[in-house]
Amino acid sequence: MNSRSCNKFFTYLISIPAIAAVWVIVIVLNVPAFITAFLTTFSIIIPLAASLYGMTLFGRGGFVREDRFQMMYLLLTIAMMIFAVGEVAIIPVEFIPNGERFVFLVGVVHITAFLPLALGILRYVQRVMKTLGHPPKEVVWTTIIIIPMLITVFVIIMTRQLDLVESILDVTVGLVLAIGFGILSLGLLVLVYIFRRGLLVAPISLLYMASALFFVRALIWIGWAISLSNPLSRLIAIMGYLFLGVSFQIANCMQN
Amino acid sequence: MNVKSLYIIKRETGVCVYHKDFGEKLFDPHLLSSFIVAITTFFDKVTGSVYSKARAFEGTDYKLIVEFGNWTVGVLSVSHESADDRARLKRIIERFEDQFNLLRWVDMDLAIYTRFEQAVIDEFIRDQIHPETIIHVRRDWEYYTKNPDLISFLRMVPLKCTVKDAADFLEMPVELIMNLVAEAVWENAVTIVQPVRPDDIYQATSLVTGSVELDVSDETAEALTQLDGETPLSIAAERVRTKDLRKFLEEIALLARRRAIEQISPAQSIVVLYSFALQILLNKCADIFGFRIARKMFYEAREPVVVEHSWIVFVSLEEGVDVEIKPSLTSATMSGKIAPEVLGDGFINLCGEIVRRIREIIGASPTRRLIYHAKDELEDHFPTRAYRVEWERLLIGN
Repeated sequence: MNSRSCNKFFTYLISIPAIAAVWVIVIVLNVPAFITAFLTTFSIIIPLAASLYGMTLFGRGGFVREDRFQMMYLLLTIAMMIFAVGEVAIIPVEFIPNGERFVFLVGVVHITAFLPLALGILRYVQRVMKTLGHPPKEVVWTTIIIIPMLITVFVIIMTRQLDLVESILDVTVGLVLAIGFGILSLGLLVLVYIFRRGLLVAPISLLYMASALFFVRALIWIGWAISLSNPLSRLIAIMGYLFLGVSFQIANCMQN
Repeated sequence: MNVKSLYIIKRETGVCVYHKDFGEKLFDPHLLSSFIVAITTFFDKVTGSVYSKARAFEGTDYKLIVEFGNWTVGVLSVSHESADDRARLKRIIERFEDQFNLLRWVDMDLAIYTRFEQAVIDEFIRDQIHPETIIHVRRDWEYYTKNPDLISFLRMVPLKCTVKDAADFLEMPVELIMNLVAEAVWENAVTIVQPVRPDDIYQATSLVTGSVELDVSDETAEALTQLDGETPLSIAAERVRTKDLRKFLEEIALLARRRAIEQISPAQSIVVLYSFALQILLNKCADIFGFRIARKMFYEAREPVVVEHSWIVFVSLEEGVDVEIKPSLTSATMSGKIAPEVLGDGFINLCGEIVRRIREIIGASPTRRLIYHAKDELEDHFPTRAYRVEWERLLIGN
């Protein structure tokens, strides 16, 4: 099977029905307990399986620092593993009394997962831009670090002053995640635009969609108090993990 | 000039029908022709060979290259043999046999010297002259030429200058000055020296023994180890952290005159240039979609090119996307078995196939940008040679 047919196969035959199936099951079986169990199981199994699968695909040659494309996917598999741990951490939060107060800890685990993910994607974006003759200037990196910090501090102060949300920790962690995934989504969107007429757009656009979903997940947490343990939030996460997994598969198809 | 004299001898009679000394006279043409015909005939008889197999006769500071035509034998006296000089000799013999075919059957005056002059200038002199070529006007040049155009030209130019400087000084087109210089060289009124350029590629010879005997700076002596026939001088200078590039190039020119190093053949030069371009292209691909896809793409792109250029199988990849030229191809280029034009055509076809695949993967617009940047990068390393890579062919369809 060549890479083009491989892309089509996995894009149309695997990812779309799988995502649709998740939605259909959740809507049709309108039983809260079942939905929670279903989402809990899938939100753990999917990133874990995708991570292990990705490891076997991209970890064969070990860490090849010069190969930024493979390195990015290898770091994504590590991130997926940590995301799975984060999803596991939601279980005790759901079962202990006043567990919602500890949701920020899940967010902290997600920040830990975000770091390798951001490192892989941003370094890849930087290398691509440099190769195509548009190396990001120092000021861009400085802006990426300073502006989110200023926004975080500003929002935290405002939240405190206006007493908008109960937990300041939730806002802080959610904001870090939202800004982080927002920046990643922007970077990936640039790549999607650049490669819009090539085969490479398939895996990159799936990465973009996953990143955008994680951004939405963090945004609804701080904006509408829909925490990470909420079924809607977990459903969004499952879709994001699925997109990442399919992106792994397409990237691997292109390599082989 | 490496070429000292040219002799064209009629095989049947052993008479030298044409000769030209590009510098001081080295041999009596009639003595030499008798010697060459006698010795080649002797070897043919002894070995029982139908086709003459003699290739060269070597002296202490000269070499006689021999090439056989249908009814003539060409001899070129050179300082050191190169595949390029042999190819020129072969071409000039073919041209002579075509032009003066009548001499094969009858002996008559066909004004050979006048009618064949331009052919010899074109083959041995004209393409040696570039805008950067340094002209040394002989002090007694008036005794060598009676051509009024040359006389007025030589009166006005300095005793030592480059062709471009002369063109700027006289406010004349460079092409015209190059033609005048070629005629002046023909008439021995000037001598020419090729300057050592930063993107020239040299290889050390067995005469290299050490910096003390070579009388060059330690930096240049150290750079000798970098002159492997693949590395341009600019990169060798960078590697040994040369402070003064001008002095470095002067010392390289000195070493070349002493034959401690020699410039690689045009065919080798094409291989080095294109493999460098290919390497840049593949590195950029690997940056965007990784080593595995880049490797796969290279081998897929090579397949259709092999049909027309079977030698391209000797271009492969080592670890990652490092381009490897197999020794078989290197030795073929050194011995002049593959013409530079054939090599250039094969490499550009390979690059074209690769570019077509890159376009499929990343799209036309980024591919175009990638090619432009690869071109710029190649020009940084080979400023005077990069134009030989036909980037325009790669951009067609993008």
